[in-house]
Amino acid sequence: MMGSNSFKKELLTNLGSLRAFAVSLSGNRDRADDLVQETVMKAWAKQDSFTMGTNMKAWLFTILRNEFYGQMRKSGREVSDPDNVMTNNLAQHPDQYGKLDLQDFQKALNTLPEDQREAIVLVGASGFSYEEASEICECAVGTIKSRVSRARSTLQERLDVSGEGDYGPDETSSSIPGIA
Amino acid sequence: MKTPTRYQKQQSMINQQLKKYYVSLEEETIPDRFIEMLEQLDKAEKKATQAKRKSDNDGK
Repeated sequence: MMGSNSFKKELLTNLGSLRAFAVSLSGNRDRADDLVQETVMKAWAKQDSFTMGTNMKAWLFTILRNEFYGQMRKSGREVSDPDNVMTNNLAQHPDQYGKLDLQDFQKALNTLPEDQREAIVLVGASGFSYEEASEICECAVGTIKSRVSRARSTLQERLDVSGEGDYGPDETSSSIPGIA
Repeated sequence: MKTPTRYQKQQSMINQQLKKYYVSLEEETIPDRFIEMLEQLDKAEKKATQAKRKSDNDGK
């Protein structure tokens, strides 16, 4: 067990990423904040079961994910509400979404089935390996791989990216050699 | 270096978009209530530890 100070410190450093995962998973900031709150409470309550030196981020993501699917089972409803989310978020966070392409991307991401969305987010954005993602999602590595690949092709279709600079010149795409 | 295929270009764009989207989420301000909640939890625990120590000492 680690002292509560270092546990707290490490938890704090992971909050931003945990919340980003929660938003990607639920597609809704209010829900995401509830999920993060539940996760922090649960993590705190069982901090003795966390082994110091192991991956706290993965541990927290697992708790959050279980919470998310637990709530989903309980309520028996579809969790994503992408259209509504878009209007809400645009009204609340105009400064966070400077570019239309990011909004389009969020919309497309939200249309993916949950299992594919979490797989592509964990591997493609949160920085987990396929192995770590498979542990977080409690499934085989091959399953994660196929979900990521299905997510990628669906996104490609939905966004109708031509690979010829459809997104217009922005600092990210224009800095990649061979794309802009 | 080989010229990337159209498919590779598309996939690399998707990857870039995904990362950009995620980073924009990570950079959003953490609601104060989480920080406050952690402070509360920490305080409560320290209090409990102190109380336990005190009762352990009293018991000797």
